[in-house]
Amino acid sequence: MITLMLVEGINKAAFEQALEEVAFALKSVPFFSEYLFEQGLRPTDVRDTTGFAAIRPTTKIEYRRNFPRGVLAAGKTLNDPHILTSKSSGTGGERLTTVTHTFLLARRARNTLRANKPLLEALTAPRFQSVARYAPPNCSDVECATPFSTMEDRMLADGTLVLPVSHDLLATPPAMVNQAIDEIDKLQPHWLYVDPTHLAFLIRSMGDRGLSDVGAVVLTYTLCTGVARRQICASFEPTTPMAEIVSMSEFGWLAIECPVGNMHINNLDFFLEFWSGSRPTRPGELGELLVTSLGDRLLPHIRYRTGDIYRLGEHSCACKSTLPIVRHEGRLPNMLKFKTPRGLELLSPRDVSDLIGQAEGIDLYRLDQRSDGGLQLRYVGDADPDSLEVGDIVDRLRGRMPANEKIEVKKTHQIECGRSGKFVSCSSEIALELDDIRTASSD
Amino acid sequence: MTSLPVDLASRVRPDFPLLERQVDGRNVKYFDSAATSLTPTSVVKSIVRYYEHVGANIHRGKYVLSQEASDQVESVRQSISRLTGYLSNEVVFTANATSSMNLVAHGLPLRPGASVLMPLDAHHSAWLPWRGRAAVETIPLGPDATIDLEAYERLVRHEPSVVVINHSSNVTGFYAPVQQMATLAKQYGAVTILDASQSVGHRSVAFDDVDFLAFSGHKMLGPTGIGVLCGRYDLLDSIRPTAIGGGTVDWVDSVEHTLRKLPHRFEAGTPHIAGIFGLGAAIKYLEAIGFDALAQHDRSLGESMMRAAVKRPYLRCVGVSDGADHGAIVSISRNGLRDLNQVARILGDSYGVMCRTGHLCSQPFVDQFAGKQVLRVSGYIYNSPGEVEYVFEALDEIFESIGVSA
Repeated sequence: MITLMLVEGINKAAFEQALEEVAFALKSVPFFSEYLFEQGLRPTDVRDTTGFAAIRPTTKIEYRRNFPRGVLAAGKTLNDPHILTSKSSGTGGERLTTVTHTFLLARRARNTLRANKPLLEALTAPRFQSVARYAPPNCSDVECATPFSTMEDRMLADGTLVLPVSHDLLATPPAMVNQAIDEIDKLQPHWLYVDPTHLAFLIRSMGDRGLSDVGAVVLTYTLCTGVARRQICASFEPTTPMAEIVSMSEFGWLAIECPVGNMHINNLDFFLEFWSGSRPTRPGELGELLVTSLGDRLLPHIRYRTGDIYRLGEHSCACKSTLPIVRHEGRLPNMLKFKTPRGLELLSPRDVSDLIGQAEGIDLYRLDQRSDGGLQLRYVGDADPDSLEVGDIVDRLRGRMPANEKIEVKKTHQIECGRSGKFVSCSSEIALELDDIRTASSD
Repeated sequence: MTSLPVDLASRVRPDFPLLERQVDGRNVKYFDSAATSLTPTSVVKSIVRYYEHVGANIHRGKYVLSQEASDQVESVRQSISRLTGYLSNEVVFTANATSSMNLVAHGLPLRPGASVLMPLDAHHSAWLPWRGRAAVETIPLGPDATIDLEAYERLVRHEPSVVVINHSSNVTGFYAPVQQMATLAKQYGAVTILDASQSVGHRSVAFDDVDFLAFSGHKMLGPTGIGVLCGRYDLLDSIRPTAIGGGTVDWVDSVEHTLRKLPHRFEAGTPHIAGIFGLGAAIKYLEAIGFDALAQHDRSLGESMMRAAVKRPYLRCVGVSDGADHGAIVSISRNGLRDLNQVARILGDSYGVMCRTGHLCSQPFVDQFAGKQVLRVSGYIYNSPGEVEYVFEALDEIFESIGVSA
């Protein structure tokens, strides 16, 4: 029997709400009652941590194949008021259509923002908030990858302007870049909601035209690498509220970077679990995040596997936020995998970003691991491949890999985005099951 | 009687390995054959056979592999001749039906002020190549979305240079009275062109008085990237090739060249040899079933679709005609719901049903008859009436969940 350990920092009150969420799902969500029945679980079995942990985690597949009839709460329809529909291409290519109440998304965003007061104040100021979004086209819910659409075409119902950009970011033609810049000038957005790689590209393309009037910057969609952060920070006043945020189509805002630089996860609106294989992880270990929504009466999620790998923090944060610290490492397919005498070792996209740092001569990079284990680092930037700067980066990367690993370095002017339009800074062709993480995290 | 079509579907389904594929645990129910049909194993094998056992280029070498490749390509040309009624030297391999249409539209000599008659339900690929080359006049459709023959007769009396006939609409599945239209057009001296993209593989496409015939391989169980243009010899001979190079010339010196005979002068560069192998296997497969059985299945499946659509008052069907001959295509919309993409996405993700939304490359027609995008369900030999019922029951559930089924 598995006993769910409520790891330090996880809100115990949230667990009580998670049990209520299960009870609601059992009563009102056709898929979930069948799901539990198939596992031989009765409603009375799910009353404590042991019973809760006995529920097999749900996956995106189940929510996709049962949408909408099987996963919507009884009596709800997609045409109900205050519903936001998101069509996700999925970071890992796993598509999903999902719906959320807009008031729930707002509450989740506000609670997440508790860990970043300057950004909270900027984003929730009592005035109309105009927002410009510069992000992978498949994340935008409007046709933004064509130069022929107008600002009106790309204005979302909440007043967010989606800026035009190509699916393959670096292949965005100059006219489309100028269109995006002109539209920012025209809109004068209070804040930007952007993919950091996309924003860094726009900044590089802008030359002398600055964005300093923007009141705040939210960096989301994909990992904010150190080199992207260098370019972004150089373009705004140091006092501009700015933070990396982890957001998911299914849940909205989930985690946020605090002013100190740590990531905090929202345990007020979600019951959170971190698992490695068949056991919950301890602080400092790599584990997949499982989310149970709280108070979602439209499309509740129970023990939902996010596919995102985190480390739960071991210490409290100087920012004094009560939201637990986590380190968002990325997704498993994007992690480099090395077999060592000590077992399997992983190098996450976050690790790679830390090792490359804010290198001046690199604007954009991608580190690929082929199926035979070979590594290639491609980058766009001024640095010469034979320069000391690049040499140091390679040394730092190799220092975290088994001996004899070779890294081929290639300077280029084009690094492709994925089909979803998202830029991936790290990728591995070596497949790995999540259970294998145990080996790595037990060190 | 629906026993034959059911039998046909169940008989041929094992030949289509894709139908065994499951998406999230649900079997694929493929209803987008009007866009691209599935490929039977025999076609896949013939393509693989080319790459694994033949490999060589055609019409270039004298060695045995090249000879085998050339012989196979030319024998497929003869198969097409048998299928269409054109001579083998009147059969040109192209990339697809669009390419075939462009070849005629850009190469056919036209007198100044020439006009082209185009049915409203024509595909963009039949329509757009003529823009800028001639004045294009539309053949109107009746309220039921079938050809208005009286209006057509009036228009053809003005002696258009070209009449394009759409054998089957990719939106409604209605079949045009090709023979009647072509004969009338010839009486007034027009060049006749038949777009058989939607009909080939379902019905016979051999007609008198049709000067040019265009179709693609991928809608008749063949591979993508291979199409056909058939043309009566003298008219084909009058067409100026739009692309020349290797394979299209008999003689080249530093200044001049001599074009090859028909049809090779239109096949510049190395063709899609593997695709031609595959197309040949597709024709063989269809001929083994027989065009009577194919046509009966097409009609019967189409009737199942139409019945299922019209008995649901919440759906609006594009084109409903009691007497018209129509195949296994039906396009629907729903008042009060502009975005059918969401419906198509749910159909695929939650029910395993693959079908298409949009204006279906026939925007003038769809705009006039539906006013917005439509959702199209299109079937082929591997689909059964039972599957059609499954699709429409899935639609019932989806529209109910969206909240617009009342």
